[in-house]
Amino acid sequence: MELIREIAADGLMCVGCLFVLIGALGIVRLPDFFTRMHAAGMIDTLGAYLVVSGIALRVEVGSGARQAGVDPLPLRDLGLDGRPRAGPRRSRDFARPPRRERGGPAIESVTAFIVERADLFILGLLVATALVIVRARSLWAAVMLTGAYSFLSASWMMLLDAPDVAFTEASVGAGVATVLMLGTLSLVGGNTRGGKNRPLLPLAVVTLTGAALIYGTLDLPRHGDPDAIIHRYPDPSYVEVTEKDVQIPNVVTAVLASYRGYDTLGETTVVFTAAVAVLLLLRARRPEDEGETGA
Amino acid sequence: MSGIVIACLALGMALALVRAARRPTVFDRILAVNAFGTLTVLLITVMSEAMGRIDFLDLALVYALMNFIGVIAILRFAKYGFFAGSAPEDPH
Repeated sequence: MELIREIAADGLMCVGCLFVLIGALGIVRLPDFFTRMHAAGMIDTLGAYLVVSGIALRVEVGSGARQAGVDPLPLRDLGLDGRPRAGPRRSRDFARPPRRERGGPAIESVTAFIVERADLFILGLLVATALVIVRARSLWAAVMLTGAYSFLSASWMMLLDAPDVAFTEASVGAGVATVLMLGTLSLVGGNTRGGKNRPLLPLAVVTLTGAALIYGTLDLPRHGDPDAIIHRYPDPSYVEVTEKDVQIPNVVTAVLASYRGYDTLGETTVVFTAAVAVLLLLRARRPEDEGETGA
Repeated sequence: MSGIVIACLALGMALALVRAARRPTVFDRILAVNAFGTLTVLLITVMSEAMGRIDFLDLALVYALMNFIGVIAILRFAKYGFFAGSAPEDPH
């Protein structure tokens, strides 16, 4: 049964990949917009559905809830996951190592290599996206591509095991910032002024700033170093007592939502107020009102 | 297997970026950025499974919603040129 499930999952993901590749090739190679739209539809429908159903088959029902520290009791009561479970319920007891691959050591090592090196690929794509943004003459395109850039950097933060930062980057960088930039463009127009272009001074500024930042990273502890100051201060016993203290297994969540809960509430209020104010400002100005307001 | 899937998705993302850079029209760019977003969602899904951190799927959900809202916002802007208020009267 387990074997059938694995084979089905692999098959679904293979076919899904095929459609993703066909769609991506189509987006690049097909001759006009409407045919390219068809190709993109292929990625969004068959490609996405097949890959996600493959993943769904590989993942044990309720394992996400357990990793998030919630006991998936309703699922167990419904008998959806098919096996009785007893014993410890705390999240770390359910943490499991990354799955072992079927299909021999070769595929296993290739997978491990790709998963480990995915950050290099994402950083490479970030650079490529930045170059495309720089070359884009229309501000519109630049705004859209900064959205893609935000998605990429958020994925990179996810790889660094910082999902909370990735959440923020995805919603603020890709969502709110895109909408605000488009709102700005609707007020000031979407074309850059051509002509005058002296890149030397900006280039010098950027190079100097970049060099200073890289120089700054030399003082940082190595990635994942257990002796780094952030892992020793405040007292590591925080991690041990948090779960007893506030019954939230994720320490970051516990700090944000409980230890400094009022602070977070205040922050959220400020951000919410700011968002409402900006929306009201954007609303206040319509093209047909311009004569009345004298703008 | 996840490795191959991740490689395919990565290739797809690079190709979508090529289309976004080549742009005959602005709608091609919207299309490419949308496909890029979908592929990012898939990449996160597969990565979270490969890394054994399936709770990162929540992030994929946020991305999918953001992608959708972003494209709606861009298209709305493309049609009306502003976000405020309701759409102008339909001329037909």
